[in-house]
Amino acid sequence: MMKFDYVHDIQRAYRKLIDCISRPGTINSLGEESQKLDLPVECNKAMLVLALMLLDTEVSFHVLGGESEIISEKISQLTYSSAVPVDEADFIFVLGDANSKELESAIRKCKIGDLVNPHLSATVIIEAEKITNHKDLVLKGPGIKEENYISILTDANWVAPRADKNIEYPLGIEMYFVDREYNIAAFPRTTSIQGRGEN
Amino acid sequence: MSKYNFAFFDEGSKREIRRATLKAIAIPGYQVPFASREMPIARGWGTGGLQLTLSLVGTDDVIKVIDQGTDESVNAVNIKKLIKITTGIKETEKTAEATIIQSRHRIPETELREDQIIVLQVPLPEPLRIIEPSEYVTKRLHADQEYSGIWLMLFEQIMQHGRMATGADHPVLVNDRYVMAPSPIPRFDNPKMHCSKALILLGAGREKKIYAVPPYTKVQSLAFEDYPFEVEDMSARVCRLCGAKGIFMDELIDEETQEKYYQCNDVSYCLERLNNENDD
Repeated sequence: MMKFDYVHDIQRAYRKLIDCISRPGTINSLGEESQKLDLPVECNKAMLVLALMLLDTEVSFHVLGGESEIISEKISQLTYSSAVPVDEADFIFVLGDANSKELESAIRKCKIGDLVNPHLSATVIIEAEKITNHKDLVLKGPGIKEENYISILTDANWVAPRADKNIEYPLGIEMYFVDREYNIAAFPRTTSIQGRGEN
Repeated sequence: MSKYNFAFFDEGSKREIRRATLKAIAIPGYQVPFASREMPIARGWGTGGLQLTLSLVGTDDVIKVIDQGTDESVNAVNIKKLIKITTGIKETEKTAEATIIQSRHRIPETELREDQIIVLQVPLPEPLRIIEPSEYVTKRLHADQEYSGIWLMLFEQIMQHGRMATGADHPVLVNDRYVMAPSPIPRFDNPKMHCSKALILLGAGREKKIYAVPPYTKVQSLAFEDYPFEVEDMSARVCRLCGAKGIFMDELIDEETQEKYYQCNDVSYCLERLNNENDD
C-alpha cells in the first residue's frame, strides 16, 4: 500500500476542504488520502487527516466521545497541539460514539470569537454515519448559487443548536462533517440550514 | 528542485496560512491576521498572494500569474519562477487553462469557472486606513460596522470632483456586513467579484492579512442613490491590435504621430483573440 504523504496528501485533502467550505453542500471524498494513513489511533481516518492538516502547537483542541482521552493523547503526540477544555478549544473533534447530549453541549459551550476578532472561534469536526446529497437539509448563503441540499445522518440534533450559536453574525462556529466512508462536508457560519418542510 | 521543500514553505507555515484561509472564507470580507513568513521577494511585492498560492498549490495544478493584465511583467515572471522552481508544476498564460490564477491588480476578462481559484495580491487590505491610521481603531470600526468615515470620504470626493474619484480599489460591501478593499483592481473589475463563480482569495503579505470572497457572494461597490457606482467608460475604445470592445483598455501614445490609441490591458485575452483570428 502507498504510504501517506504528509505534504501532498495533506495538500489534496486541504483543497477538497476548501472546495467544501467555499461551496457549502459540496461533498468530497478523502477516501484515497485516509486509506493510506496508517497510524495507531482508533478514530475515523478522515478526521485524523483533518487533525494532521490543521493542528500544531499554535492551536488547541478537544475530543469528545468514548475513547476521547486516549485519542486526545495520541493526537497531541502526533501534532504537538495541546488538549484543552471544550470552551477554550480551537478545534473540537466529536467522535462517532459521542452521545447527542455531548455534541449539543459542545456546540453550546464552544467559543464564537468576539466582534473585534470573530475568527478566534471554534471549528467543530463531527463524525457522522453517512453524508449524502439527498434533499434532507436546505442550504442557503455565500458559496451557494440559489439553494443546495445535503443529508447528514447523525444521532444528534445539531441543526437547531448550530443556528442558535450562529445567530449573532459575524460571531459563530464552523462545522465540518466526516462520515464512515471518508466523505467530508463543511459549513461556514454564514450558511443557513433548514430541514425540509421547515420555514 | 530537491533543494527546496515542495512549494517552498515548511508544512507548519502552510498549516498556519491554511487555517487563516479557512476562517477567511467563513467570514467573507473580514481580514484574518496571519504570520506572513519571510519570502525571497520583498514584502509589498506580492508576498501575500504568493503565500496563499504556495499554501494551495499541488502537483496537478496549472498556474497563471499576471501583473496588471500581463503575464510577462517582472513581478509576474519572478513569482511564477519561484512557484515553478519549488513545485515543478505547469504554467500557462491562458486563463481558461489555469487552476490557480495569482493576479496583481486585475481580474481577467475571460470569465472564471467554478473549478478555478483567483488569488489577488493586496498592498493595503484595510479600506478604512485612509481615514483612520490606527489598526486598533479600524478593527473596532469593523466590529461595530461603523462605516460612516468611508461614506464621508466618497461624499467629499463628490463635493470636490462632482463624482466618486476612486481610481482603483473602490471599496465594496461584502455579504451585507464588511466593507472590504477589493485590492487595486480598476472599478471596471469590481462587478466581476459579485457572485463570482470562482473562489476569490486576497492576501496582503506586508500587512499580514488574508481575506476572501466565496463564490456566489454578494459584493456591492459603495455608492449613493443619486451618485450610482460607475465603471470606467470603455465603450468608445477599441483595441488597436485585436479590435476588442467593451473590455478594460490601456491608453497609449504613438510616439511618432502623438496620437492616442488603445490596447487590451489583459494581454493573454488579446493574444488569444489574435491567434483565433489567424486560425479562421
